[in-house]
Amino acid sequence: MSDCERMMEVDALIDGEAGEDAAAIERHIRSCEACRAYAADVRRNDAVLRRAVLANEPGDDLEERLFGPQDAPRSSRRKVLAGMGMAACLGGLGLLMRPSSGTGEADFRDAVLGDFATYIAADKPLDIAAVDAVRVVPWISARVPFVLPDRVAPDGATLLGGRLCWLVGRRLAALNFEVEQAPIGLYIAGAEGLTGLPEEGTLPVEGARDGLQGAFWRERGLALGIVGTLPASRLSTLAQTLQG
Amino acid sequence: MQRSDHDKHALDRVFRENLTALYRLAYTLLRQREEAEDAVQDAWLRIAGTGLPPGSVRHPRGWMFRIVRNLCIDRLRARRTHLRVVSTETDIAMLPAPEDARAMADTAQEAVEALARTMKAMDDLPRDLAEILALVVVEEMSYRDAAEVLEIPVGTVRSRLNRARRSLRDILAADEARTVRERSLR
Repeated sequence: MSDCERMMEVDALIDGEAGEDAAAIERHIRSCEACRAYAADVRRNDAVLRRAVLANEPGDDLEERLFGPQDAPRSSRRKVLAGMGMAACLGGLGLLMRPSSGTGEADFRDAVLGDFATYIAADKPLDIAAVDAVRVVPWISARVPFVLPDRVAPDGATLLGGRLCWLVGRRLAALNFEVEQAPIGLYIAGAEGLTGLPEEGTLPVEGARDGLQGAFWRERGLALGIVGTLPASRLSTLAQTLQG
Repeated sequence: MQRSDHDKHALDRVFRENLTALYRLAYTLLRQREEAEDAVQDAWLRIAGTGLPPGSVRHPRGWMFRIVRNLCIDRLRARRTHLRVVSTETDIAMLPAPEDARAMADTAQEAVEALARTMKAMDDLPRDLAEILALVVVEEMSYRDAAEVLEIPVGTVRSRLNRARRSLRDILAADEARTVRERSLR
């Protein structure tokens, strides 16, 4: 395996510690095969490591041993404390360990529109809230099993933050924006086995559900969708600002 | 409310919020469930008994991680097992990794195997490398916070984390290569 002296900088980028060097490191990764391979390995291994270690919890009686009898069963307290984002994150393990629907066909449009409806109904919880893509993108990149596209912010959109989702039997990245004061979500996943998407290199297709609209397309093996309350034609225009 | 009561409630809250994370760090170091729980209990007894040292703790969360870590090190010393520090890059075997050999698991069985392999790889790592992964990758501490917990410079966090990730990658790649070889022989 080839090596590069800048691999420590790749770590910093993945950990959100690169600061203003982030753009330069990203450029280096694109041009350095060793660092590209290293970054992909680290992201994949980190994601599995997190799932594996987060599943390791102390026995039910530890909290009681320390603090005395509790008011409610530990599991229900934890659900309240965890919040939706964390629950989705930890829930990944449970979903991962039961028979996956990822091997069959699943409609990307339907799943993404349904998730965005839940996101709005749940008062827009985010796993990472930040307006700076330099913070949000590395955080998400480190937690998904694919490489995010170079460009993830549609023209004129203000970034709010990001989320990790588990839909259609796989991990998705969701970046959340505001456009013309309306919330929109950009969903990204590996495209394998997904339906409801056009051929690569063609214009986005539109979809609608529960009062939400969306524009969906494929690019470099990824499935992408922009969804929100804006008209589908407007979302399609935003999607085209991201197409390579 | 008197200040001491206020501090006690604050410590209680911070400890409860971080209980599982503190346990995970203890488990990463001790690799035994009961002993990890005992170490966390010892830490709480110490914290509840003495409270915050006056004026010396900027980040109670990091301070609690440090106490758990130190108690774990005491236990390891009692077992005569030491935190092995990998001092040079050359300690890391640079094994060839098959292209995409650890592609994201698509089936439940593969996913479970990937988790088990990763936990085993964590057990195979020197403890100082496993604990930096536990703090930065799993608990998502900043490099600065991890440096405070481990009482080392930020630069050492960076280099140790890099060694840890490369070691983990090499262990997983070697394991993957071994599995592929064994399957081909069946």
